[in-house]
Amino acid sequence: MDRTMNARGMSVADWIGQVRKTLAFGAAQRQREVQPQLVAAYGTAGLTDLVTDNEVRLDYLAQALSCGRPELFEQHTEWLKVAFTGRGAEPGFVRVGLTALRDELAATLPEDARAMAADFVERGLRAFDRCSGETPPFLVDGAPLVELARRYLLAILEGRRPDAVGLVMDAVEAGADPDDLLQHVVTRVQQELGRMWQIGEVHAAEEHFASRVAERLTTMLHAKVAAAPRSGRKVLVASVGGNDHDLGARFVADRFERAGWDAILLGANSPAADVARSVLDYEPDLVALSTALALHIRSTATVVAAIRQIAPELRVPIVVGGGPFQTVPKLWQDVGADGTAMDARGAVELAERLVGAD
Amino acid sequence: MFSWLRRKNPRTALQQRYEATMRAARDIQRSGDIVAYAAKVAEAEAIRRQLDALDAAATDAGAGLDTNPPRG
Repeated sequence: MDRTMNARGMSVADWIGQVRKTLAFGAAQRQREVQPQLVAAYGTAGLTDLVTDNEVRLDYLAQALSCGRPELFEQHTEWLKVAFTGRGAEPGFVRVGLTALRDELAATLPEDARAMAADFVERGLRAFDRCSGETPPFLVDGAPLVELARRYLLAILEGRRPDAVGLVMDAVEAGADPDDLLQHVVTRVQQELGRMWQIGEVHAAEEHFASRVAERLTTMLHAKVAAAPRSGRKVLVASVGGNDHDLGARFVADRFERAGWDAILLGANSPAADVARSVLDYEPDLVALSTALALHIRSTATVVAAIRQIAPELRVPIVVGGGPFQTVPKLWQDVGADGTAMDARGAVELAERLVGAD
Repeated sequence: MFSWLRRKNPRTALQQRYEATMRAARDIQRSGDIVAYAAKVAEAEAIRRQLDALDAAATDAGAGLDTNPPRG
């Protein structure tokens, strides 16, 4: 049991998890009764596609309930409105679907669980209504290195990998700080591509191509920077279970190395038990966990609890980072961590405070 | 004699079976028999996989909106 999470919310989330399939199906049926033509137009698979989508909605709801954070579900409904609006689909379809989900939860959950779940869905609906359906671009005039970022993005979109790499490496030769390039060009463009995917302007394969280029650049830029003298400090870096993204974890590990730390990078989707075991094996001074999506909050709490349980005497500080921690204040406390940072540079600064390094 | 003309579309028949099985699963869940519920859901999911395979084989598969955040 993750003692730091919301016990009542965890109980409701567990209920939802047990009956997730039929909840998703029941909500899809309700929506079909209201909007039969729209459900039929939803795709080739119609109702079954809607069941799958409802399962995702329920997963987000369960994560939000687990830590008692309705903001997480509100952000999900806003995400959906932007995605539907950007793709030219009718966002009202999502609203009816969320209402159907609320009604199915009310008909299925036991009375003591019903109120909390309904409250979270209602908040999600209100956030959906408030949302304009638009999301601002990440490459805005006046941002550091934005012109270079735009040229890099164009090279990525046109599939010109050597040009994309060359642009960034030429900037290093011209004296740009590799950390600035990683933060303001490579990372920012990844975020922009995520936004473009959300509104249907690029497809997943294009985003994956960009990630491969970013990985290559990360390695090349890392080699260009003179690392600080080794401090004898050691950090263990991992993406939590379920998180298949490891670019953020790589950025963090590299940044620690440049600050003189030894970095042990476990990579993507690291099971909680393996991370905890690695803490025993490597005895790091700090653990840094990467959490890409709100879907991984409970998994993050599980790995934090596993580390605390397996190695209580080590009292190793744990830092968490990633999208949900950047948008929900104090969420890091809910998962039992010792802090969070907005980026790799901030993670190193926080780490040095936590372990008392100079 | 012309009964083949009235043969159901295999996808429609499977879809009906899937929906009927899921409805049965929901009724069982509400009765509180969680073991029987899990078995019935597994049965529905097996039908669902057949539906997915049919859709993947169809020329217009994937025409629906991909509007879920990345899962991984």
